[in-house]
Amino acid sequence: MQIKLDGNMEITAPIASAYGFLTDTQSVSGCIPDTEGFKKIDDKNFTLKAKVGIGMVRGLFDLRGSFVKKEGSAVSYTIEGNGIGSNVKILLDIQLKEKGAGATDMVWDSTFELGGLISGVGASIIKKVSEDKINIIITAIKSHLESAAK
Amino acid sequence: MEALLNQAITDLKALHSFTDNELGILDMVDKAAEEIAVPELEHYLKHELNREGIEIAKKFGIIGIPIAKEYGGLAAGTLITSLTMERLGQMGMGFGTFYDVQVLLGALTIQRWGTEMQKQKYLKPAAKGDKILAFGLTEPEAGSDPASMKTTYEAQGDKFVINGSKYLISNGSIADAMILFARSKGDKSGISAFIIDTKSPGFSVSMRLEEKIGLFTSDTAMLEFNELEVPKANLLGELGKGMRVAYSALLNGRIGIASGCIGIIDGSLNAAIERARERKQFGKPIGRHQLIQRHIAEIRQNLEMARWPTYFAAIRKDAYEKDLSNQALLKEIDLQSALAKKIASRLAFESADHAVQVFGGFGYSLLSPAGRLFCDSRVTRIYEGTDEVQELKIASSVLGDDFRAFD
Repeated sequence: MQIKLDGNMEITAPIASAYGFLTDTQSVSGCIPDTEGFKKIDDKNFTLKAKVGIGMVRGLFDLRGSFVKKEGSAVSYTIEGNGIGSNVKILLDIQLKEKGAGATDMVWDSTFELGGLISGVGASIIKKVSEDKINIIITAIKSHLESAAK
Repeated sequence: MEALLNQAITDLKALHSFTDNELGILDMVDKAAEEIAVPELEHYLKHELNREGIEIAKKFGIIGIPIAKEYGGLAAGTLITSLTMERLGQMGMGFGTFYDVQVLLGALTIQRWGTEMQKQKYLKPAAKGDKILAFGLTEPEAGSDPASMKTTYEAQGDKFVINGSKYLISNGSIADAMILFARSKGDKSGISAFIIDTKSPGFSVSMRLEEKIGLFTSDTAMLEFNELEVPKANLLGELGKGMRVAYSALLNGRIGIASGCIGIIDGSLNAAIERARERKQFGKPIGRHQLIQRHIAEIRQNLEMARWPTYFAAIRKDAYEKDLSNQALLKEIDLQSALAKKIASRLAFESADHAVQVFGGFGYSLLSPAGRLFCDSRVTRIYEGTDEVQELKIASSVLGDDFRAFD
């Protein structure tokens, strides 16, 4: 099952600090809810455990993450792993654009690929939960950046 | 996401001109249902009432959809309410059953038969979801034959005193008020309807039925009435004419459950399509196997067969609401609603069964939408009029009133 979600958000922080935050795996992983055991492998690769699922269909996943820098203040994250008879792969592309007056536009595009047990509970439910999760992540990124910029 | 109500609205445009207000209500229903779906799954798996769903429904204001504006509703007709039930039914009938009882059996019945005082006291808060309603007709020995009920009332001064029990009552243990049917003590002909407050002394919940095979997010309870005092002002409709109240409520309920069943078929179709596209066996998506395609074709046919009798019954009910003295039209709707419920509930059960088959082993789990829809679909052939009761109505409509199996 594949779910695509996208959106954009204005951040009251300069583009340089936003890009610095997004290319620091520890900072980004801190924005993912219900995680534990972050381990930095190198500057671009990391592992962590995250609780994934809905209600009782919920368990700890072992996730591997990495990112690549793209042209024009863009970054592309891949996070994938397995748990509770399911597998998940998240592709998150974030593009930053300078907006002036210390503000930055953050445009994001994500693809969730789910297989196994979790994918079977129903597309509409998975979509709603994925939307909620990605909103938590994006809002946390914004909140961290804006606090740091103050 | 799935087409949800879009296809139904598109197809129905041939029969009904949707106003912007109606389309706005349905859009709101869609948003509410999307939000209700996640806690519905969580509570379904825990086999517990989905109270969050009720709060979400209140937030979106969908509980008052068919209720008049002066009582806090949106004044939409039967068709819009049916499409609401269809949308809720797409996630199973747990929350749909709460809604059906609260709105179709409860609030609409008070709106039809209630005094102004009753409407102010019960209908207004019920339309907002601030008072939960239940409908107490069924008894241990009076299911399809409500006229055999044993619960009694006795007039004493300015009140009635009620004794007896009700059985398998949806919303029974969570209701603030309830429409209750009882017969006059010592008189087998006089059944009356009352609105009772569940906080009154003499009302008790003797059991919450949790050992069900579906509807896990819906409350089902056994209730006892021991010298329960009801003010005379809470008589609903005329004394001794309670079955008219019951039948009018059940007519709404039949269309509502038929609509929820269309939702089950929609949900089964969406789940089966999703599974057939994603699941691979023998090197290709199972949807490319013709025997899986047959299941999907069967569900799609069932959807078509269930929709039109139900939509037709709803549209005719809207016509009747504008002409309540038209007994010929009422008789027609009585038949149409029986046809709709009989057809849609059987096809919902069959469709969910096809969806389980498409899911394979995972379909036998409540984690799959197919498994949940299958479990919830079975009761639709029983509650608010069994298949057999609908068949009796259908048969006597063609054989003639002399052949009616019951009065």
